[in-house]
Formats: sequence, structure tokens, C-alpha cells
Amino acid sequence: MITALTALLVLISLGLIVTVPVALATPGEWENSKSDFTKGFQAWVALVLVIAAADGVASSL
Amino acid sequence: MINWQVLGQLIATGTIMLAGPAVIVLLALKKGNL
Repeated sequence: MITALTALLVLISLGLIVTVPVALATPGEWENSKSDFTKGFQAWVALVLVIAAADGVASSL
Repeated sequence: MINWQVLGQLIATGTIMLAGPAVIVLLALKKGNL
């Protein structure tokens, strides 16, 4: 469970690392896809908190 | 006897840490037009 969530976090991180600088460098691209990137960042932060909570539950069992 | 968890962690952190500068260098070489 935690392994799958961490794998997802790694994939989202890689995706954002590649796409964010490209979108910022391409004229007009950031404005067009800003909401998609915001969703990506929100998913990333949420995933960090969910993994921390899952790890907390798992280690307290 | 291979510690697969540590291997996975190293590969994951390595790719994430190297991908960022690689994208920046590529963007700089192609003058922002990828």
C-alpha cells in the first residue's frame, strides 16, 4: 500500500520535474495549462500527507 | 542478498535529482524551444 503510494509520488514528481520547466519556458503554455499544474501540485502535496498518515498508522499497529 | 528496497530508493531519488538539471540544461541548449 505505502509502496504503491510512494511509487505514485515518484511518478508524479518526475512528471512535474519534466513538464513544469518546459511549460514555463514555452510562451503562453503556462497560462494555458496553469489549472492542470495546480491539480498536479495539489495531488503531490496530498500524496505526501496521505503517505505520512499511512506510515503513522502502520507503525502504530 | 541484494537489498531491493534500498536499490529502489537510490534509483528513485537519483532519477528525480538528475532529471531536474537535465531538463534545465536541455531547455538552455535548445533556447527554451523543446
